[in-house]
Amino acid sequence: MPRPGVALFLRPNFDMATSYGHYFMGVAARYASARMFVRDLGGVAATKANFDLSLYSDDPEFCYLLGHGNPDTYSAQNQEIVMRTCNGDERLIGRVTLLLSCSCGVSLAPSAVQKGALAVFAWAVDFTWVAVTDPDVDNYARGFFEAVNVISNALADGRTVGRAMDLSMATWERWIDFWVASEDPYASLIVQHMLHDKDGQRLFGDPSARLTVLAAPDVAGVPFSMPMLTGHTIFMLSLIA
Amino acid sequence: MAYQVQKLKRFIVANPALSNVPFGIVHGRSITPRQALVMLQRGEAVAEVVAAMEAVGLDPPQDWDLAEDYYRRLLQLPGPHPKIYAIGQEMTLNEALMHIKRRDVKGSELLSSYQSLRREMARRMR
Repeated sequence: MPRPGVALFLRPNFDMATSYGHYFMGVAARYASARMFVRDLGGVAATKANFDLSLYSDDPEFCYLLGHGNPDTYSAQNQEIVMRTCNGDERLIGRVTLLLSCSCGVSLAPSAVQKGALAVFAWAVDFTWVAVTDPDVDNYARGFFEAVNVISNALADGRTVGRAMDLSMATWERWIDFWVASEDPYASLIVQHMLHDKDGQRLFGDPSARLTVLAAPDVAGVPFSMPMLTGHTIFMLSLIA
Repeated sequence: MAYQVQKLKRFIVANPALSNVPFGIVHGRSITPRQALVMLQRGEAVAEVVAAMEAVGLDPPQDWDLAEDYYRRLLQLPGPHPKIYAIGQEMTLNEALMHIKRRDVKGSELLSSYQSLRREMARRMR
């Protein structure tokens, strides 16, 4: 049985694309660490060996995994393969996993649940986003990762897997509505890719499952705020300044 | 026609981000909601514009051309142009346009994503 109240965050960082996931997962890891013990393996530490070691020694009940993937494969730092549909996904047995990796919702995630994973969040499409600058100041990218981090945050708050999925969908909707109403010249591109990710998001396994956390939240919803300025606007203002 | 003009005006006010996205082809040229409104107000190709509005999201053979035109329009916007990312990959808008023109695997994924946008436009145009 996985150890209650323990989470593993595996967040590679080896190119521009993973640098966004790495940054935003860091935000979620800090949030989760208020209520769980978090093993945070980032950058060069996000290897298969460290993943295996953490599963053995920490035995986390929640895994939030970032990396390049395809329908049958999940990989970590420098695209080192961590698990495939046919080999390795049995290590998710009894755990809740958020698999932020392209197309793993096609085969890998349902296979893991069939083998006994409690629940797996994954995408049946490539997870895509739009960005124009560095992750910590990029308002285009922010909404994409917030809609995913809501899952991790809700689970850390003690909510069920099904509720976490609902909150994530609601967050996608709010961000889509925000960008649809925006005058930013690239807003349609952001809406396009948010629709793509939202429609491709899947939950496999038991929707009533939940993690063991230190304390229940005392708020009704998950904190959420829209950017005051869009990335394009910030850039234009920086030219004036 | 007044009904369609009102409909387009409401759509543009409520969805400014979608008002410059091409959604139909009239006389061989792609049109956006903003262009459709101007054409209707001028009484230009009224039947064709109304038909294009009715057919939003319902005419897949034209979608490749529309997607290509959409990325061309994005490339004409002021820079810096954002990039499209997937985990482990990144793509410029210019590369996206190339994939659409080649009709390759990545182009098909972009087309599918553009079609989601058109369906959303159709939903909001109702």
